[in-house]
Amino acid sequence: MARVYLENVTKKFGNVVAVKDATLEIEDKEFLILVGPSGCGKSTTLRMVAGLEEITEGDIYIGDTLVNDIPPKDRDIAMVFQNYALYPHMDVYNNMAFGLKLRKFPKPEIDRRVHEAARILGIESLLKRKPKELSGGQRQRVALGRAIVREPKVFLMDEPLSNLDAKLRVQMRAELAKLHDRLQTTIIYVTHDQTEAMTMGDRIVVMKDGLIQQVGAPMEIYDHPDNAFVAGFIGSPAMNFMDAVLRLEGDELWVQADGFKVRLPRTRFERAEEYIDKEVIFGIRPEDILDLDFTPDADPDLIVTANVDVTEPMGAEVYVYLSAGKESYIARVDAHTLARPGTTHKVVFNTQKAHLFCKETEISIR
Amino acid sequence: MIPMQAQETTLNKAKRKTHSRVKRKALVKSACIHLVLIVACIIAVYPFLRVVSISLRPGASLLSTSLSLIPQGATLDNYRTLIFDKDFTIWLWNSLIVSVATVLIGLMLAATAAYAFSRWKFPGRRQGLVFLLLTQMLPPGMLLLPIYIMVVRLNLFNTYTGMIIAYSVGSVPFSIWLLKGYYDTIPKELEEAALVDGADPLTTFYRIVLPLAAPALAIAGLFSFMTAWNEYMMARVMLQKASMFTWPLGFQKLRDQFTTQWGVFSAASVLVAIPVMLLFLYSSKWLISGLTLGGLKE
Repeated sequence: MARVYLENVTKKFGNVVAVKDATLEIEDKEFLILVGPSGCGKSTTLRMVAGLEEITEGDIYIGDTLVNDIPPKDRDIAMVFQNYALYPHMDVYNNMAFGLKLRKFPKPEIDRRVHEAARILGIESLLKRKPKELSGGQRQRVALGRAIVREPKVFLMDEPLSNLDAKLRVQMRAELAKLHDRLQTTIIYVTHDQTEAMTMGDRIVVMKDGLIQQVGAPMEIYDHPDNAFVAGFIGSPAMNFMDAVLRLEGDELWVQADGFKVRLPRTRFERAEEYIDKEVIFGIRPEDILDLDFTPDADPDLIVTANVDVTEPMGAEVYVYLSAGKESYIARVDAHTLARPGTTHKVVFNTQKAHLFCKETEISIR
Repeated sequence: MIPMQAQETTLNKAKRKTHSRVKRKALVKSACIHLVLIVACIIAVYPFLRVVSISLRPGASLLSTSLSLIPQGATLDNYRTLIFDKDFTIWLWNSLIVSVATVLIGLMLAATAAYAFSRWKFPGRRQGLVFLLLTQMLPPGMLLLPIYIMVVRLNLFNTYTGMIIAYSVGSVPFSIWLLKGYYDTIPKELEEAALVDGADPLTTFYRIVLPLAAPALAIAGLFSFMTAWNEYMMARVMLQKASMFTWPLGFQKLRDQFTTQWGVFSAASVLVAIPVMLLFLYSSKWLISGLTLGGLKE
């Protein structure tokens, strides 16, 4: 168990900067998620913590030890790889016991740990099988087991669920969360799947182009994204973005886009005055666009009439693809909505939960 | 309108017809394949069987009017003569020492060098690989003189060491290329997993990479063995002492000025083929494809 601290860490591959000046503190026993699109530097960051990539600049501490020059084997970490990386010539038992054997653990202790981990993961009956005789899910469990038996200070997981099918992924997601509760170990988990990020982690680190965009608890990031990238990346369906202009009419703050004009709560956007009569990006999540039929006492200043282009029934809810003027957006409304493609429909923009971003910097205006 | 039952019967008939046509086609195909394989087997095995047959004949005749594989009056006399009256065991022993040492030293050098070429980037890597390839383009005869001069200067003339070095020169570059190609297919993640698990780079090489490269090592080993085992020209130049002769040199002594003891010669041919056959049989268990299957998500 240990905290991990990255201080101004930079990684360059030739002239390409993969990670730039990353500073990050991961608390002891924390489940931290590194999330971002492909090439954002999240895996490189993880690999630097593992010692599989050298650091170009900066320092990494595991516990109180500076590990910049310490080889992976002496960092007391365990890693689960995206493609499992099981040793094909060893059976499941030996795959799991390999690390312990190298560390010269006594045989009874190895046996106890391997069986204990196998029991937790439900793979006791597979111990004599070779990896090629296992299914994807079973291989994934073995890879996890190999990490668990080591009882390391820090678990590093590099997209461990991305090769599983959707159903298994959901199941393993819950199991990993349970495992973290049980093991009480620091976990750094890399994923490009924002659902995994939202559901599993204590905190999320959103990365883009080698830069840390925002660090925070999942709901904090969801509700208060620092910039348009974070706002768009976290959440499914993604946040709607519309080009708009801020207006001040009397004492009221309004946002005007092509096709609609709605009033904004001034208290929520204190810095908005700097942007009056300027172009901004207006962001609103699909669930914050409400169906007027189900919001009878809606403020008339928040009602927008839009054309219904497509509806996607999801069972419990319907995604309604709307357009008004140049702008199109998605609303996530009640399954019983009367919105039908080819008709117009009235929706309510819940501007209490809307977001504004600077057009140039894409930084959040609050 | 055709009644339902009649329609079904017509359908079934058509199905049966197609089925039997497909079956007949498969049978003809299988027969053709077997015929080709049987002919290939006869071409490969018949000469060897003739040699066995000659070795069992009484006397030293090479040709015979009989086509039977076990000749009339079959005897093991030629084998007895070869083993007890000639220096055959010495030649065989010399060949074994030189060949096994060539395999071991060659594999050790090639396995490590190929790993470096496969995994690390260093100045001269590309040039090194091309250079190794170039050595394979020279005809062995061209290397005779320079190797001879070197061996004499190093006082390795008439020694096992000299022979082993000379044979390794020929086999190591090929083995490096072969193994490098194979290492390239072993996923790097497996080594990274081992490094994180607590292995140092050397342990990773011995415990993970080498076992996975077994098929390539087996082929490289076989190649090195065969190079050294069957080699004549280099041995002729580098070995003068009769007690150092390898079997290809020794065989020459079975030919007198006017006669050749074909029976003994054939017996010797059969016996020298045995180690090679055993080696092939033993290494065949390593020549399995898909050893790295299952380690990674395919």
